[in-house]
Amino acid sequence: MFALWADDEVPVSRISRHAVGRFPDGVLLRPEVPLRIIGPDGAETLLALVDTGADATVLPKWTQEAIGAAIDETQPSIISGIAGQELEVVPGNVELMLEQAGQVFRWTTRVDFAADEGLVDAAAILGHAGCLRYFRPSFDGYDRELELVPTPDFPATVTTSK
Amino acid sequence: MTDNQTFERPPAVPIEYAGRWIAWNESQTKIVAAGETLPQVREAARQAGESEPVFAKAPRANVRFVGGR
Repeated sequence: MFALWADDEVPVSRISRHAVGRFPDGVLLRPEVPLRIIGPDGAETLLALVDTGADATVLPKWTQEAIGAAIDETQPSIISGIAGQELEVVPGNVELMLEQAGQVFRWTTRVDFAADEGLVDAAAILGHAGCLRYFRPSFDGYDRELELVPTPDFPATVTTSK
Repeated sequence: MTDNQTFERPPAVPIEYAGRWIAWNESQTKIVAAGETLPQVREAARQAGESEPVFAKAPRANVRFVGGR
């Protein structure tokens, strides 16, 4: 089933645009995708930054509480930014869903939850653990597009959206 | 990008939202709420009549983001 995707890739594409003062055209383009986060008590949607340099998938703690996701507070860990800033996170189990071009990618995985105020410049980060290990990301700076194509070890099935 | 793929490019987030949490409408064509915290924005979006908001964090206007928070 997965082999079909090699000939019929289904991208998940979105580049968000932010007006800023530090670029020549005053616009910052960011590779963000609408990410549905699903738990036993509900679901929320965030624009998540696709970051191939990130080891982990990090979501705001508020979403964990809002959707009732199970977390393990006995297993906190530390994530670090490029300048060494450290942020404590706790692991939790969620379902994640990406939808584009009439297809739905939905999988259960372990992510890290960080205090909302720790996510200063992005609502959520899609890193390797929990997300990007299952996709082939492609950034096209010329056309300003992002593609996420699921790999054969994507841990779920792909369905057609209604 | 495959030929049969179409999507609308989202409008730019105005600079006055820099550094704030925002909520788009479900189709991500319009910002319906903004605030300093996610719970504030969730409530403001609900009051604006948006039942399926899409939350985002607008990057700060004068800070470039390079790997990490």
